[in-house]
Amino acid sequence: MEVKFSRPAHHRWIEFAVEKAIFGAGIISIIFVALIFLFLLKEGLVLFRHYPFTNFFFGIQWSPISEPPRLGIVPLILGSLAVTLGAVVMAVPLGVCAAIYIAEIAPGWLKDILKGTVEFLAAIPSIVLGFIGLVTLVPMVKNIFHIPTGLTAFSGSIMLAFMAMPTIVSMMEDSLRAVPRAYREGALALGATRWQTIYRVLIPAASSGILAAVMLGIGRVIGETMAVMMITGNSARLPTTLLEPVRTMTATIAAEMGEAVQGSTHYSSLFAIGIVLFIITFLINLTASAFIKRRK
Amino acid sequence: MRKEEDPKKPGAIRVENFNLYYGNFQALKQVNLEFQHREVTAIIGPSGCGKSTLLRSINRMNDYMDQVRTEGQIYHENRPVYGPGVDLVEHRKKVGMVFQRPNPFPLTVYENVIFGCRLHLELSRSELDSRVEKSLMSVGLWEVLADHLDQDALSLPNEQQQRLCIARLVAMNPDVLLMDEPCSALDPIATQRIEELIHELKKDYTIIIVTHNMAQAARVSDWTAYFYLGNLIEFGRTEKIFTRPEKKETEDYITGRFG
Ligand SMILES: Nc1ncnc2c1ncn2[C@@H]1O[C@H](COP(=O)(O)OP(=O)(O)O)[C@@H](O)[C@H]1O
Ligand SMILES: [Mg+2]
Repeated sequence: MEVKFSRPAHHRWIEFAVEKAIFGAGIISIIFVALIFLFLLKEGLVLFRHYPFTNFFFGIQWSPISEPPRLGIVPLILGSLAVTLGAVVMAVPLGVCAAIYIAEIAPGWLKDILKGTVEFLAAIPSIVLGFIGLVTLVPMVKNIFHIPTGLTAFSGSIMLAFMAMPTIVSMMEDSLRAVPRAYREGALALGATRWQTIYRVLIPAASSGILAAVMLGIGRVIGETMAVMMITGNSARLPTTLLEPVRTMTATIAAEMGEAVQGSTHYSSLFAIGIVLFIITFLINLTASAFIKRRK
Repeated sequence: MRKEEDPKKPGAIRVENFNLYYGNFQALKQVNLEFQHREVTAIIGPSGCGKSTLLRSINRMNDYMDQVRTEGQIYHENRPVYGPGVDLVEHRKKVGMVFQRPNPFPLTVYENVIFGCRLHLELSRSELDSRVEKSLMSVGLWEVLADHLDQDALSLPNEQQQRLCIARLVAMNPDVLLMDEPCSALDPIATQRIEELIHELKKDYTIIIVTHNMAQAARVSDWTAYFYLGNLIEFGRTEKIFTRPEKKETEDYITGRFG
């Protein structure tokens, strides 16, 4: 009587269909990513037919409409780096503290409120945050540091830190909470204080989740475009301090794509920037998922 | 010699008129109980009768739960455990706890053993080393693990993990060991070996063990306390409780008529 144990035929059919559909969707999304990358390569690599490879990667001047055009990506990479590093330096310690507070210290009711707030922050469109930053943060930075303009890498960092924070906090909080209660009790029963328990047991136990959260936060920050464009002043010069206007890779693509003549050197150089950005983001996500995997 | 104790000498742990409430639910009712130095006391009773609650009250692990309220007092060597001015860290160094499931930290064997020492003491590397050796010896792990001190503790078999959890207490020179069903996650052979270990440890420590396994209580303990619905029903020498209990309820439970 084997029939008794198998499910009705149409159930099995539905299961089969759903499985294949999910598989298909997965394959399609992989194909799309591959196609996007191929398209980027096709449009971007053309650049190096007319423009020397080394001048692009090591050139320290970005002025695409000068004659001849100078397409050095270094100031843009440094711009992205400055804004990103600044954001990470602010967001990570704050995010870790916030996550620890929410996961370990806040009383139950406050925990719920704070978690809700963090998720709400994550839902604010970045352009809105950029606009708020423009009218509040930018004048503030200008006045505090007595500089000619508040449109600086520093302002961009602060705002990006804000944007990355929800991702960082909620992922870290999840991984802290996933630490078995038994570890906590074990440490407390050995006479550890709450803080000792947190930094000697919980943080090490959650470390791979914490690192993954940081990497994803960085990924979010590097890819951000519009808000950064509004706030960092968009000047493609080599930055020497964080209190100067900079221009990031993403902002360059967004700002210049409209005016670049299709098929021109300028046009393909923007795609080449895209390739660099793609690779950086890909590597960051790869690192993040390596950390997540290690946790399992 | 040790066992011929002076009858006036107070016990290592003394529970006086102790009540504990989870919100409105009273889990322990007017408990009075004294645990003798360097003897094993078993706490038995049906599930939910408050065994774990009492054990956790002794080193105040209930502090971290919302809505827990206590009345009465527990003394450790005549020092109150509850009330203002109690040094909880100091108390827990002396009164350690072993949990139902082995819970070593996700660290190396070595770091697990000296976890408590690192928290509370400034010890040199060689002092730490010797503590690790001594502690692992006393739980019978030294021979097995001497060459694997940097192994991840979570990769050890269950029984060794539980021994390791005892070792990390022993490393702090406690005087009381609280064990909450320490064998419930272990197979019968491992259980027997942990029972032998308890027998060894009682030479140096006062041991309070919660168990739902009456044969185990009879095997390992000198004293037995029977709880039912938060009340201490009967307390006495183990051989007496198991052969000539005074109360009908105790007899019913022990003979397996209920529970
Ligand atoms: N955190 C808690 N909140 C509310 N009730 C609890 C809590 N922990 C235990 N209890 C209740 O207290 C009683 C005693 O529990 P416990 O001490 O764990 O019993 P035992 O260890 O004897 O099985 C049970 O009725 C249980 O439901
Ligand atoms: Mg219990």
